[in-house]
Amino acid sequence: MQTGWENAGGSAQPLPYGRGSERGAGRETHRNPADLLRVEGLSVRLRAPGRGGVVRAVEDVSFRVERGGRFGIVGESGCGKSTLVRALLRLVPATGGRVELDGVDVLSAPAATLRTLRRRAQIVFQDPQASLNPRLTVDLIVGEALHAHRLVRSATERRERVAQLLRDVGLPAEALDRHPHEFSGGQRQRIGIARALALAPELLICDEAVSALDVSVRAQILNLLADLRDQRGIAYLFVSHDLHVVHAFCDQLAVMYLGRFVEQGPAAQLLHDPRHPYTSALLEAAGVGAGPPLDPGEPPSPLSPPAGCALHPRCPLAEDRCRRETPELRSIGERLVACHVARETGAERGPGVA
Amino acid sequence: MRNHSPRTFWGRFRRERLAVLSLAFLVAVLLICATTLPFTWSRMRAQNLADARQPPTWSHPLGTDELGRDMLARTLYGGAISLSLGLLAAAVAVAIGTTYGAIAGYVGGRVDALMMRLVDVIYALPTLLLLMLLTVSLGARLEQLRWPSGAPVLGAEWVRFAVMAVAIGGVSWLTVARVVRGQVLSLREQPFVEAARALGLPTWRILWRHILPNLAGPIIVFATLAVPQAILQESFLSFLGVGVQPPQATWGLLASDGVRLLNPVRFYWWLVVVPGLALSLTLLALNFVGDGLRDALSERKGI
Repeated sequence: MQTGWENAGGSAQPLPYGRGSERGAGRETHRNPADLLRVEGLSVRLRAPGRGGVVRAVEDVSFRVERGGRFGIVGESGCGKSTLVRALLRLVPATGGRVELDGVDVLSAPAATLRTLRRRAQIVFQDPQASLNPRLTVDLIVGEALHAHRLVRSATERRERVAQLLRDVGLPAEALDRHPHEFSGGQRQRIGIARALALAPELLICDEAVSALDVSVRAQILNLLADLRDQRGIAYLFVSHDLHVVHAFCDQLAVMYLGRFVEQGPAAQLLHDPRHPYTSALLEAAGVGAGPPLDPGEPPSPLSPPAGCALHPRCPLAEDRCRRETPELRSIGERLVACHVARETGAERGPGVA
Repeated sequence: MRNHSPRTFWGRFRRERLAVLSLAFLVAVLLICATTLPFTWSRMRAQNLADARQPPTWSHPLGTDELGRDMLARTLYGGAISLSLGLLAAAVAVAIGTTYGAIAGYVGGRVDALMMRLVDVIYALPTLLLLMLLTVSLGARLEQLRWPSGAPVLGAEWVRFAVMAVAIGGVSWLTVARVVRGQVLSLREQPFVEAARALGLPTWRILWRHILPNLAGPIIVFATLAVPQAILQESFLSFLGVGVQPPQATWGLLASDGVRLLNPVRFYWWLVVVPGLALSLTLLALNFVGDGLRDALSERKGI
């Protein structure tokens, strides 16, 4: 593997490039200048309260998001999706692996670099109520970052910029001097999006950004996000537990289970022809699948995941081998699947998400 | 839920009858003590031995003390000093405690553990001992402070006052630090603080803009309850003779003078009852207001 000085895609300054993870078959280790975000072997271990247990919230996760790309991550609640995206921006500390934003190492960046990196990647949070400071006006909520990053010089300038941002997300300019509690859930989420857009990020991470909204409002917000994507060419990292939402939005997809990616690849392929039993089961649960359902029951405790494949206690296809060996991601066609028993060939039957 | 209690903080506070009444009383006391200060300033020092230990009369509505000084003037003046000392001490406690607690809570981890163990240690020391130590060590320093012209920064009379405020504040910040730290620990995990971090805002800005304003409630309640405590502590120290020194006057000092003159032969009741009543009514009112604020605050849903 070439590990010398290479041109970080797009940026003029050549940057040192460290060794990436070489584990797992079929993982690209070459550099692609189209990549905006590269994640390799990212792991996050959290200390569990009491008794010194360790939760492997994210374990050896690798993926790439291209400029203007739309990458989706799906999985049950508690599978580590939110921890994963927070680790990308160092909102929680990662314990291993490598994250690069436009070729710049995020995890070891000094504070000043980290601030500019955060400017380039922003998050829209799940709960629009809790993620807006109840004591500030919309003007300050959205415009504060402009001041902090010295993108505006005066309050007047800030107000103009914020008013424009509010128009961009479909809010009236009168919203400027109101407080978050004066808005509906959908409007609050628009404020959250305006805040994320204020710094003109290249990557927008949506962490269950529409999950807390009514179905009708959800569609509006998704349309807004799609418009922004088309107008500004922002890349999206879209995290959700809702397959329909992800299907409508993403071209690449990863399915996460207990901290690991179990299947990743082009969204259409995964949804129409799932290979991992867990992906099939998710589709089945969403009412569009063909695969055999999982055994009922809660996912196992992340404090003590089962030996072998973490899915085996619930998996209808589990064999002896699944109880002993942890499956590595292997490539099947354009995708990666972590399953011992996954089919190598295309499905003979079974429509996916239409 | 919200239909049962008014939405705004002041709306709920207004329904606490006792607290509102107490607040009115306090405002009145504060206004009277402050506005009469220009008159009481000299009158409370004017001695007239011929008139010593007079019971209330028309010329001295609240009687006179053993040096013939007018008790009305002395009580009003003492009130001004007691209240300002209480406010100053509370301000000192809130300033130190909030800064300390906010840093410990926000930084977390080992720093937090270390800072809070230190608080535990100071907590375990006897308050009185600490106060006396602070009084002695600070007093000497303050007396030596000089303006460039050579004049003392604080007159000897006021050194003790300043020392008392700083010492009492310096002892009672521990509770604020604990309360604030606890609140910051939970606020730190709030999504809007995480959002602020994701925006790349500097830490001081997050603390100032996003954490502190959401702490205003508990801090105000604490400050309100810290004022009577400080006044009481000063009175107690005055009783022991290590508080504010005469010719300064505070309610505590006046009461202690009155108690000193208690004897089985003649009972100069006004010397004890007047400052004692003023002190206890004010303390009671302050506590009622503090409780009312706390109740009005705790009914709030969310933050």
